Amino acid sequence: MIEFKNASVVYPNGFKALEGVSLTIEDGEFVVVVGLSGAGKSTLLRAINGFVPVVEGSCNVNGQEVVGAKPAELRALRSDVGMIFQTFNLVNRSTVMNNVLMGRLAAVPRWKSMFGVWPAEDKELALRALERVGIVEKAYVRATNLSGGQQQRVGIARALAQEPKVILADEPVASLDPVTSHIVMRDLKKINEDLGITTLINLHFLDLARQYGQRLVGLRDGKLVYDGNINDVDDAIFRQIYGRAITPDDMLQDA
Amino acid sequence: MTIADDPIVTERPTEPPRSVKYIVLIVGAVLLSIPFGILDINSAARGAVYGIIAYGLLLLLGVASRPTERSGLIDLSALVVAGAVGLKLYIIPIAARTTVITWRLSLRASVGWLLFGLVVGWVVYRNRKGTNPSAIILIGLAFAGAAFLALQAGTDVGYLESISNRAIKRGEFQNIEQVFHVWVGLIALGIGLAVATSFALGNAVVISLTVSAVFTMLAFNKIDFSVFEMISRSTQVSLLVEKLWPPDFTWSKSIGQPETFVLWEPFVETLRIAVVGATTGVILAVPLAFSASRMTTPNATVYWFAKSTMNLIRTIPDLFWGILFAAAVGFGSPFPGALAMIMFSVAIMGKLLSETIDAIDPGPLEAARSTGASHWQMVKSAAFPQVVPHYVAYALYIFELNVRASVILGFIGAGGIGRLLDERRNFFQWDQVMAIVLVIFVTVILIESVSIWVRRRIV
Repeated sequence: MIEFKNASVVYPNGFKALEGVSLTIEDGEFVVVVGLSGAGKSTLLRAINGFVPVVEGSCNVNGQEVVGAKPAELRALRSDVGMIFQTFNLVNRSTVMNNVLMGRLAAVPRWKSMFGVWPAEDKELALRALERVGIVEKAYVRATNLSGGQQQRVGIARALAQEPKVILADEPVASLDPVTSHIVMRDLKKINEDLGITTLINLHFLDLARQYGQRLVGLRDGKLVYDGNINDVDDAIFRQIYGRAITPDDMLQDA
Repeated sequence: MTIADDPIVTERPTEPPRSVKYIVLIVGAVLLSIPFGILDINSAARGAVYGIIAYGLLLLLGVASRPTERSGLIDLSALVVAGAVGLKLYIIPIAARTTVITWRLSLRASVGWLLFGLVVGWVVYRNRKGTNPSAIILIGLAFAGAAFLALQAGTDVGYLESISNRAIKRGEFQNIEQVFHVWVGLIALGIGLAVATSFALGNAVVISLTVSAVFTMLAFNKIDFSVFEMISRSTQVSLLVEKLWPPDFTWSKSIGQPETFVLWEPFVETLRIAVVGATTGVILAVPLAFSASRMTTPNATVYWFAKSTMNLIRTIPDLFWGILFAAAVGFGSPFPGALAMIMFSVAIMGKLLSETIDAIDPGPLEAARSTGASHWQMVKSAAFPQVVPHYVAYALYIFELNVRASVILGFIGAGGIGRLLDERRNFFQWDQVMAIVLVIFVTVILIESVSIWVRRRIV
């Protein structure tokens, strides 16, 4: 369970990215976060794994308080939280396998990982993660030789290899074309349904949000402005989140 | 349920063998152990003690400058220590030989340029978030002041004197002071005009080009660079060429001994020094470089420590390292040469690698951190793979440089073929000098072409 209580995030330059957000996400939920760019979507996700510091209020992830956590506690928390990035963040020169094994770093003994000696069960886990996203045959190919959609699926496999309780996906399809966007969203949805991993996804395409989301969280200027079932969302609520009417740019199909 | 419970449906691809990696490691270890076994390690103790004392002093200085996070003060402290060492060992004996007046004059010139550097540094520091016009004016003023001080101090008196004497002979001037004042006036005017024009144009590129052009001019001036001298002395050069040819490859080691090819032993010694220096230095530089990059440093203290160590090593030139180590562990053996080459290699690799690390993609680092990896796990899995090809290329390049640099080490009694070169030169045996130069030339070309070939394959 992820619980924000009146949480605020202020960046060192004084920018208030998140202001008094209170939000509870139960285990196994599939939550889509929408909002204009700069509304605090990424900040919300990054507060959960302690990448940005919550300065006021609290943020509790699976019973571990993020605010004031010690480095070791933070690492333990992060090992339970997988993250997927807009730009995939793969090591291009390494093989797909080595990229996915990165997800096992917190679980294997440090000296083994430093020398690249991975236990057989961790390697098998990485292969299973790749199987989940359907590119196990690419395991020993360099990441740079994959297409964008395949690279993002490696990113998902890396998160899966952590055997996480939570997956945070920060604009996972923003750099992909419509067809691969749907493949990646379907993968994420299926992982959520099969494995019961709590999933938070930042999206800026409203039709994708509507098609795959259950619960929708709307952010505007760092404040929580909507939290409810995605099917109840109408044009008026979108206008409340976006501060303007919906345009074709907000739709994947028409973009 | 987790992915560990997933059934296996797809056939597993076969993992490619890792033998290549191990072979490289073993070959590296063997290469490293052979020369180490041959070189004399016993006399290292004394050198190590000196090194530790010197470094302790640096640390004290560094701690004193700790409050600021900027590396400027660190550089300064490293410079002060290196400068103090240099002053004692190099400048003071020279100053004792020359007149006090010259000594004072060059001191004044140095102070001028130092002030200039400080003002520029301060202005750049204050304006790091966008420039304002007054900053540029300040730099200009400081530059003019420093240039004036330096010129007035007459660090280039020698060159000016020679030209001025000719002018006096022609009857254009009465005495040297008169000529000198004209020179100073002309140069100051030229600098002033150039700087004023560039500032009037207000273009950053033009300004920086002008300033560097002025500096280059001054530098040419100060090293007594003269095309006329070059042409007028060319007859001497051609005489030398006649003596150099044909090269004499075989000569006797001492009187009464048969003439043989005596280059082999010192030549191999030079290569050994290069191998030891490059391999050890390149390995030692890795943790240093990762600690000295903002991207991968674990914390500010380690960053400062690594950066100041690197700056200190780099501030001291390789020949000077050779002199220091030779004094510490004894002249004549290749051991001080190898130590100097290690320092030389660490300096180059540390600088090149840490700057390469600065430019890597931070995305994978963030990804590794998000999995709960520790700092060095993150560095190893996300940062290291990104710089490996660069690292290998740099290592080969450093080996090339080491071969070349270790030749010259013999001149200061740090072992290798350079000792022979120096000795033959002192006996005016130019044909034997030529033979040594040719051997070095062929070796360097060979090593260079091999390393270019390997680099092209790796990167």
